[in-house]
Amino acid sequence: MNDALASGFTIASNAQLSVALMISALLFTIGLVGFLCRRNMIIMFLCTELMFQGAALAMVAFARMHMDVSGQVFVIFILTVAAAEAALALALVVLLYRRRETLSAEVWSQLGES
Amino acid sequence: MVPIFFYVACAVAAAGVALLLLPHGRGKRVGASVLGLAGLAWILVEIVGSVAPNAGELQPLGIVLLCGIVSIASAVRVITHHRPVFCALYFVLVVVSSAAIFVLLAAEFIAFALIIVYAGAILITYLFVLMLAQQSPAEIGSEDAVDYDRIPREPASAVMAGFVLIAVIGGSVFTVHDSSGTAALEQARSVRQGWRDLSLMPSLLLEQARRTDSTVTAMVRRPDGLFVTPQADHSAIVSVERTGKASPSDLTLPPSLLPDNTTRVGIALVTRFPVSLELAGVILLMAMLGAVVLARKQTDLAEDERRSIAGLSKLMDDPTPGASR
Amino acid sequence: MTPECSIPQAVIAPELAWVGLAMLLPLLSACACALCAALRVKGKAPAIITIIALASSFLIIVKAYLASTGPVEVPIFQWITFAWGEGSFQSFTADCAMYIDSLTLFWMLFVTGLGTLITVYASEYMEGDCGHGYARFFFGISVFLFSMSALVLADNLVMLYLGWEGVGLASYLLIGYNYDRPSAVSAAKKAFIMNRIGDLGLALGIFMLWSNYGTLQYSELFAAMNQGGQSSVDWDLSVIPFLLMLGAFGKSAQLPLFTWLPDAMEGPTPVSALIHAATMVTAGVYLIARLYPFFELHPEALATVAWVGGSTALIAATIGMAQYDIKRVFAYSTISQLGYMFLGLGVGTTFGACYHTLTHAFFKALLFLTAGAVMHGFAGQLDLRKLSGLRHIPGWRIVSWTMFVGCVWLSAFPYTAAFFSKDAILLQALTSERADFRFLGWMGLFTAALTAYYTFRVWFRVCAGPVHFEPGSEGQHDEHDEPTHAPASKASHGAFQPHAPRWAIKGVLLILAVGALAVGLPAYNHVFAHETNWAQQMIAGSSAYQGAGLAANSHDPHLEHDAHQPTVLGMDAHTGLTVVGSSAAIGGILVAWFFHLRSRSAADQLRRALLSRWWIRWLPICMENKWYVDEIYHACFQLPLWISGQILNFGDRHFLDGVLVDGLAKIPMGLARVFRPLYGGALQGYAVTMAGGITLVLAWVTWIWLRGFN
Repeated sequence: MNDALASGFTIASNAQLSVALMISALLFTIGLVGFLCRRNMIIMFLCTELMFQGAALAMVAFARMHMDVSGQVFVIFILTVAAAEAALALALVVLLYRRRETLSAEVWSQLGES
Repeated sequence: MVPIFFYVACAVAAAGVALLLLPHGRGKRVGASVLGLAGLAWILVEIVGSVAPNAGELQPLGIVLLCGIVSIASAVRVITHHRPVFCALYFVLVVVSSAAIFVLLAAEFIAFALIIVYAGAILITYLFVLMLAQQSPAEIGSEDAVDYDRIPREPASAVMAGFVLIAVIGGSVFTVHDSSGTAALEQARSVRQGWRDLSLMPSLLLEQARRTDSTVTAMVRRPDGLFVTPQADHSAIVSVERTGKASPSDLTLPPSLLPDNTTRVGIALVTRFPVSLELAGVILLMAMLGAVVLARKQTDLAEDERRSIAGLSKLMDDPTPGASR
Repeated sequence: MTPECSIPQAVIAPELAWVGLAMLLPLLSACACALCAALRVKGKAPAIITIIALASSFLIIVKAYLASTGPVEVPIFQWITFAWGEGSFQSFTADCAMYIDSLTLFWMLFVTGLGTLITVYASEYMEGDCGHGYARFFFGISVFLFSMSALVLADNLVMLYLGWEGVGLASYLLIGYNYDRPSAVSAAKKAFIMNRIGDLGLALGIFMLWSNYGTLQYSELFAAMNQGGQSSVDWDLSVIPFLLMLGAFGKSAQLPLFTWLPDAMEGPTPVSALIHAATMVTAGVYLIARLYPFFELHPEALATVAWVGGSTALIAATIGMAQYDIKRVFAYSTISQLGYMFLGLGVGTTFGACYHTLTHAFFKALLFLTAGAVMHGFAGQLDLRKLSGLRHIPGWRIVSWTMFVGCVWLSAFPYTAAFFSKDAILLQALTSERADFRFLGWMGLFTAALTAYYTFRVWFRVCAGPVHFEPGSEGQHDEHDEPTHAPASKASHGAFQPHAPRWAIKGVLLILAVGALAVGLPAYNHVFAHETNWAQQMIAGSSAYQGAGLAANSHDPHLEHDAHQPTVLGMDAHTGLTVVGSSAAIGGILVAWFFHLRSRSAADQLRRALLSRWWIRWLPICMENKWYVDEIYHACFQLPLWISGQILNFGDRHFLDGVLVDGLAKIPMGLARVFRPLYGGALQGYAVTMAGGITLVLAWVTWIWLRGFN
């Protein structure tokens, strides 16, 4: 019966989904760790893209699990936001780099009072 | 049941990542890589072991695992590499390998969109910005990368937070209850939804119907207002007009005529999320304008220059004779 | 049991309002002096303005005296008037009005007269300060004269209180005239605070008078006393005299509160002469004399006054014997003489007390002014061991001999004015029916001998003997910088030339010496011509008539020779006292002559001899250390207050501040110290916090979720 269906309508393999979800969680976490660790502002934004990637994988995995394409549509929107964020953030990074001639995020640590 | 071994595996992987983050020599880096890969493998083994796959699933599962390992390893390289350009290139690898997983997860459109948009567009932008803003090592006077790329910031606490996060998220994977009972129901609902999506696009439906019966000329609405009536065996019944026949007659469409994945995404976009789609376009436009405004070189012009750009005469030039007296 | 009173009833005489000018003129001159100070006038204009104003007010008082017939009440303007009902106790009135009777005039005459003379003296004495503090000094003098006039002329106790505080203020300002000298500042504060203690008593006494009689106007109070002065309240009226007494003791430097007066000598000498010898310190005597009837509300009130006065006289005299600073000797003698006045008031002769006030005002002002002249000329030198033979130095003859006059008068040499005034007091004491008063009389006689001794000790030391002097250290000791001879004191120490006084000082000294002689005239008139003593008349015509010995006289041997005439040493009281008093004075002078002129080393030998005997050693030590009164006050009041202050300070600092305030503040601070590293300002610091928070929330949610499954 399943053979007659297109791949999106078949019942997904539980193991495949678990592994995909685990990989998405790992991608997200590694992106987070990179965002917290790296000092280069561009790499920090690259790490947020990594986190987006993890989130997108999770979305697709759940879409597959429920056999519903809404999750995939959502990934398209995530992609939109990521693209917009990348454009703006990189513009800002260029601006900041012009100010201080360095990409280190440490020189902009003026948010606190100390 | 508390997945203690999973937590231990997470800790091993976290230790590997933490060691990789620190600037070490080559030997230690290899050791740390081995440790991290071992932790990763252990995590995946624990996950696979917990779901106990049957024999038929092993092949796609193997591909997913392979792509996953490549993806995770590249991600780790993204956050540990000292050269930003290499980071960006590793990120392309992450995107490509996860696109493979997307294909396996029946998301072909998303997979290729990601490759095109991320690897093709966004990453290229990143590379351009890196080249614009990066100080070259020669300028610094050192073979290695600049300090802020080499020395991570508080890797221990960051890895700790990440370890806890992955333990919590991954722990929940072990407790996902068996969904095989509800899977069939969801499948039926999904198939119904597929037929309904086709019903919203009569010309597409007509095309599909002609594949079954080439004499079909037009679709006729069913008594409930739709063009299709989904059946329990995933097939569907449509009313069609055929050439040479006066009254409409029923036609059973097989499940293979359900829309494929990419079509479904397109249908969902235009039928269920049209406003979101428009908004996404607006966001992209605004982001483009914003990026242009932000990244433009800002120059302060004097009053006279601004006036001359605007086509006005200068303020103090050419006073009319006698006006000052 | 209140005695029958018949105080002369005052009549209202608005036409005498011009007497108020005596009050107004010093006020105007104070304003003018303040203006001079603001305009930085360099010349002697403030002095001239003040002299003119004070001389005019003296003339006004003289005119008022000539015009006076009896007690009058002169309204000037309504000052404080408010009523909250119709009843007798439901309104409060304190007008700016004058109550002019003979006691007022008696007091005003010598206040304004001496004020004028001393201002003339000060115009030369203070000339070194021209352009610096000159205007400020005369401003203080004018304020003082205004306040003193208000005090004496007042028609009610509120205005008296105004003047009372005003003289305290002027005294404070003038003692602290050299405000850059710490000793002057602390002396001013001491005087002010000690006076406040007394003023508290006075204020309470005034409150109680009002709550009993419903008025504070003299005329109405005296009318109430004439009708018996019954109590209209349920508490004991007898507390009133003791409260008023406290005020008088504070202002007049009597026993519990006398230590401020010697320290007040930090002020310029004219101030010491005017305020702290002649006038202000007699305000206490004036208060008691004015409110004399109220001191009979309690039978022992006057006896208390007598005892305080007698013991103050003795103790101050003993301290004065052992001082080396001329001004301090005179300060203690002032306290001692004020003690005599209170003794007189206490034993019942207001005449004696007031007459002694008058004579004392003259000769003590004279003595202070001569001391000031010495100080002025010898660059601030006042140590009587370092000055000798002044009368042989050219230019100092007048100072020496006027000082001699003052000393003779102070020692109550027979047939001087002070002899008669002191005589009147001691006679009343010795002929009293009370044994303790007779004892106080003998004590007073002994004090008189001591007085003669310490007075002539000064004169023999300073003015007689071989010529020898050491100039003082102008900058540290002198009370005013005199640029004209300041270089002489230090640069050419050996060739120091005394700076002899000029006409203003000499003239004033001569006038005062003549005045000191002149105030004896009423007594001579009485003794030799058997006429009524003028001063006695003046006192008897006022509210203090009670003890004046004219109106209700029973024991005055000067007028009547009754059968039950009391005796002194078996002789007629008057004769006996003359003999005893004369011999006390002459004996004291002779002892002083022996120790301080004939063989000056004998004094040191005597001191050594006293110090070497354990049973008598305490006497010179105590005398030289002023009976440790300051130390006792320090131990009794200052030390406990200081200790409790330290304890409270400790509690405040360490408990209230440290535990409650700072401790509470430390809780959020400690919490902040835990979390502060998370908010270092770096973007990623915040990101770490956020990630940690999300993780914790996620863990919590997962835990709940898992628990739901198991």
